[in-house]
Amino acid sequence: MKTRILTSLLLMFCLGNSIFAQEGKLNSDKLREQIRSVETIRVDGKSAVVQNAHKRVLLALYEDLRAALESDLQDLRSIREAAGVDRGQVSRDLDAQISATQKEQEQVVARIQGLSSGSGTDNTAGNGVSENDTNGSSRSERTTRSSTRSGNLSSTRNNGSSEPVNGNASRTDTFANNGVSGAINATTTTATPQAAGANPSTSINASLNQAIQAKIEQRDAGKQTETPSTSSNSTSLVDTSSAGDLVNVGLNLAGLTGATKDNSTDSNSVSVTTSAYALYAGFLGADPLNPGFYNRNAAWRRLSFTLGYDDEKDTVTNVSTQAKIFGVKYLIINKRDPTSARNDKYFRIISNDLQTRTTAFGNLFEKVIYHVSTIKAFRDKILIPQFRAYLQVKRQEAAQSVVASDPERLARIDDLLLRVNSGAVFLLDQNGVQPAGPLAEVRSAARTATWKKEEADFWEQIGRDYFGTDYRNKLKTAVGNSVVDEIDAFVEKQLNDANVFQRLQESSVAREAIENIRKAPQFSLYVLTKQRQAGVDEYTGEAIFDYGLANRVNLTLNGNFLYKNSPFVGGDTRAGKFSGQFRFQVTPEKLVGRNPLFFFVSGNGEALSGRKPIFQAQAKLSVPLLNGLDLPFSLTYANRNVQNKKDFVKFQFAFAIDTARILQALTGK
Amino acid sequence: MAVQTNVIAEQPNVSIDVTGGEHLQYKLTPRGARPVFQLVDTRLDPPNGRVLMSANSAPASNNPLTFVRKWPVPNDTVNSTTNHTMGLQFLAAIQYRYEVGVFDSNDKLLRTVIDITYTATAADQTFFQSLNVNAS
Repeated sequence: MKTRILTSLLLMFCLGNSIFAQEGKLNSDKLREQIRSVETIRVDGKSAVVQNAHKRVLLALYEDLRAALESDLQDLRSIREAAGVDRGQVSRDLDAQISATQKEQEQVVARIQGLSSGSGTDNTAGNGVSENDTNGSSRSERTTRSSTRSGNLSSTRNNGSSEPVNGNASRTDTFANNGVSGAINATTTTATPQAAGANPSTSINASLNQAIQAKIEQRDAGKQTETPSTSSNSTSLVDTSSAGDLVNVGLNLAGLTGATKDNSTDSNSVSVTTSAYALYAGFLGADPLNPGFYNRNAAWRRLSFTLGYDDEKDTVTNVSTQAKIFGVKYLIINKRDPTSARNDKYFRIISNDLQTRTTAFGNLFEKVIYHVSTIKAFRDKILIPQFRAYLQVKRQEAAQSVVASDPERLARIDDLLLRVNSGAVFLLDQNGVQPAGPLAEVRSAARTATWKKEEADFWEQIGRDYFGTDYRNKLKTAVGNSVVDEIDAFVEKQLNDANVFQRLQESSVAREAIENIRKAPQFSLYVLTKQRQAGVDEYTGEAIFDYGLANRVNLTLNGNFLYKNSPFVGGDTRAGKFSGQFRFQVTPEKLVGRNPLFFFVSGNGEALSGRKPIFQAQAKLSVPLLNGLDLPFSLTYANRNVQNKKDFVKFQFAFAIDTARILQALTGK
Repeated sequence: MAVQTNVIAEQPNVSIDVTGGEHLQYKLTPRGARPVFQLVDTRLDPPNGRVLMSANSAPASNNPLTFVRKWPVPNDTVNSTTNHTMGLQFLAAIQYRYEVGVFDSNDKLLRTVIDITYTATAADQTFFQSLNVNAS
């Protein structure tokens, strides 16, 4: 009795809700209230029917809330856009609200996922043919009908119908109708489209991408993440011409004193480099990664700042002191900027190439998807029996009501019912894909190669149920491993076709265009000072030229002037320094997220007033540890040390941290 | 896979009642320096397909930068079936959100077919998202 009362209450709630739904469906405040109301109804220990109904109502409300939050987000973004970028606190408040709404939406999606995954068994028990009867109207009818939320629920009361529809058919049909009417998606036991939120894609599409992912060349690794070369502990002899857009940190560890003859290496240094662009975006509260903002503010990216310190130990007194590092870098020539007009022609080439590859992927995807329909196990166990059941429901509807826009519906379905028994449905053309034909044939009762409306509608449901997220497990559960194995084998066979694979790969012309962007010259000026509490302050003016010589080989040249300001009268010194570096990319970019392995050879000469010139040569290996974290080792030889005038060999290592990349990896933004 | 995906909705096939006014809306929101993408009807104009929307199309919004394409529009070729594939290039963009919805004649969203955010952890990667479209 209590069960009936509870169920009735839930049904009444849904009836009322369906009326209310049209006006309140996108009002997130009202939906939250409704969810709270439903969640206060305790169903623990109640019958499966009650628990199922409770779960389905909740799921429907959460689905609506997700849609309402999406609508809220769109509104907020429109308001944000209308407000402009220079509204200060108002803009920041709006951004915070947008962020909070996005977070809430993610939580709602997670909740939907939880409810969906838990609703399967209940639903299998609760669904019956009459549910299809309730929801099985044609698309045109459905779009004009009021919400079927109550209808879905009441249908669960009509179990045991004599209609010979199996559970799967029932589920898929209900799913489609729910999608249109906005009714309860929980009635499906398969994942709803929204149920995969916050998940990586595990669909056939994603699987195909993995299989054919083109391995193109390296990212631009020219952005400097190590401490500037003016730091005595830097593993760089040269400075590259661009800094990271956001903030880069270079953190040198102490040199390995046991391996060197230089006594001044027991010290540390840290530097932080940020671009004026990042600061400007932060000041405006703008998204620095909005392409529009990025394009409009290219000039801000030319300027970057470095702050840091260098711990130095006096070789005589053995006392550590800290020297502060301040630097400003300005990019005078930046031909690598993606927004530069110089690169437009290269982007056109890349874009055209992408079109060819996109079409090749679409063609392959079609072949794979439609091939599944020909696999015997899938066809016999899923496609044909479920479609037969689907047609029976559709026939019942068609017999009950004639749709003016589709007068041949009943005759068409009758013919499909005849054909389904002989398996003559979902037929493919000579290319192994669905034949294309004129629209008129889709609703015609005459037999043509073109798929009929019912085949197309049912195919959408099949795709959603079996080819989307987690398709492998779904297929394995439904028909066993053989189908998945056959799909894999088919994909492999397709990719072994040289013509197919060639069109899927990046063309040599496109690769060349990418290299032309990456190898373009950059020229910058860098002013850096090292300030000491006591002793000599250093000032450096530096010109940096960066140029790609060939694939994986980059040349960087530095010329700088060094001025050391001594507190002692007549103690000032001036120096000229020239350095050059070749960078060889040892490994192609194959590892997810990590930089390639780099090998550097560099040298520099330094002439200090009143002293003999110093020459240094360095070999360095930069080992990528993680995305955004590299470990550079360097071995340096110098003909003399400033202090003791002896030649020395120094071995150093450091951690180079790119905070932007680490943040991106951690936040997924 | 170097391109990370966050899936809200994903399905490979869609069936729409074009004669009843239903239509698809493709929406792409990129993040980064310079988006490169192509939405292609892969069955038309073989072998390269016909571009429905690309980074050269006029954006629907500049903040955030958003590209929107309704299908079909009056000049579109509509057959009983076709394939629409989105190709995303991450050379100078780090993220794309791709949404596809079925709308009725009153532009009311009926159902979401695709809603995926793609994030590249390294530059210069591509990702393709395909959708088989049936029209009636």
